[in-house]
Amino acid sequence: MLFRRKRGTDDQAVPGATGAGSAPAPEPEEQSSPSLARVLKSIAEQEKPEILDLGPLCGDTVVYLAGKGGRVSVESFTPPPAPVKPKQGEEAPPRPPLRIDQSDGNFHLVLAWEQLDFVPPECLDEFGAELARILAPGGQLLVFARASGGEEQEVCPQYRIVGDDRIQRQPSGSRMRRRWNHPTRAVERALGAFSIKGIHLQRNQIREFLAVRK
Amino acid sequence: MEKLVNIGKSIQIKGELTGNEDLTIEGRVDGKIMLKDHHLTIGANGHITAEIHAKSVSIVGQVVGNVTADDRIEIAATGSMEGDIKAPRVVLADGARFKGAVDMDRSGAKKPASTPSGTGSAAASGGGGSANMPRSASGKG
Repeated sequence: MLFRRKRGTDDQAVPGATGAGSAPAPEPEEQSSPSLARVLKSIAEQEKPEILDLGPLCGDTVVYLAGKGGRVSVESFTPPPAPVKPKQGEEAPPRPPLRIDQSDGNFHLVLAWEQLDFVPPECLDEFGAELARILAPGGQLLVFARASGGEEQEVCPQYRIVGDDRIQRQPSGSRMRRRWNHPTRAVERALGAFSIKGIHLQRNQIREFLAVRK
Repeated sequence: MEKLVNIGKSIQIKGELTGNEDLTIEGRVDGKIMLKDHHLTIGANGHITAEIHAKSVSIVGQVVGNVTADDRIEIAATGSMEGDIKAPRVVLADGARFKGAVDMDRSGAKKPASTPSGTGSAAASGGGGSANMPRSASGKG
């Protein structure tokens, strides 16, 4: 189960829980993140690291990272819709390029959280190329991807950093979007411009990819 | 009791605004705001397009421009901010909209931040951030 609920807290709303219905909001799921611990240790050695949080934005996370001495930019990344398949004999309609509105080689660390899962398979390589474009050589990328499950509609969750190796996964106020389950090989291909330093499987079947820009 | 100074909803100012007392702006200001050693509140009806430098800044309304504070910057849940913020203490409340970068310079934010970076936007949905402050100060439970 992705969002666990604690006993005795049903009347407490979780910040940012979507919808104002009567159903009690689930408690955020706290977990350890060895990959996050590695990147935070690494950026702590830099004087003024440029960090990009691809969101959905969590204020605590931004402040936590800024408190580490980094300059933290936030980007509300909107994954592209799945390309429309053309009818037989017709050309595929042109689609706008996938773009992260940041300058080239600007960042030492990009936290993409679970955004990858909301990028259609056809756009995965393009997304990886954009991440490579905005990262400086040697810059680090932390991205999460679900290891199991089929396609479904879901809200991209947000992550609150509560310690150097502790994160809380919780609902965000983002729109419901289609979510894919990308095979590890497809993720590795999309991150071709990176050297993948580790893939860690969380208890909740979320894969953590830690990659370094070549 | 200290007198509250307000710039009302119907007031529009273009140019540089300086002062030596706390100020609440509910109107429109285009230009530059300097309130050294004092607190600035951008009220719910405030629309600011300006570079801001104050001791502390609370944003409940809308701001476009870089904000520097020597003590603290707080963006409330209803606040909207486009530009870079620089202060030793920062609070991003749940639901606040923010577009820019955060720099918590511990050495003291004396210089105004550079021009807006034009970075992406995001809404602080479900997250409220604070540093060096009680968690309740960010408007969360």
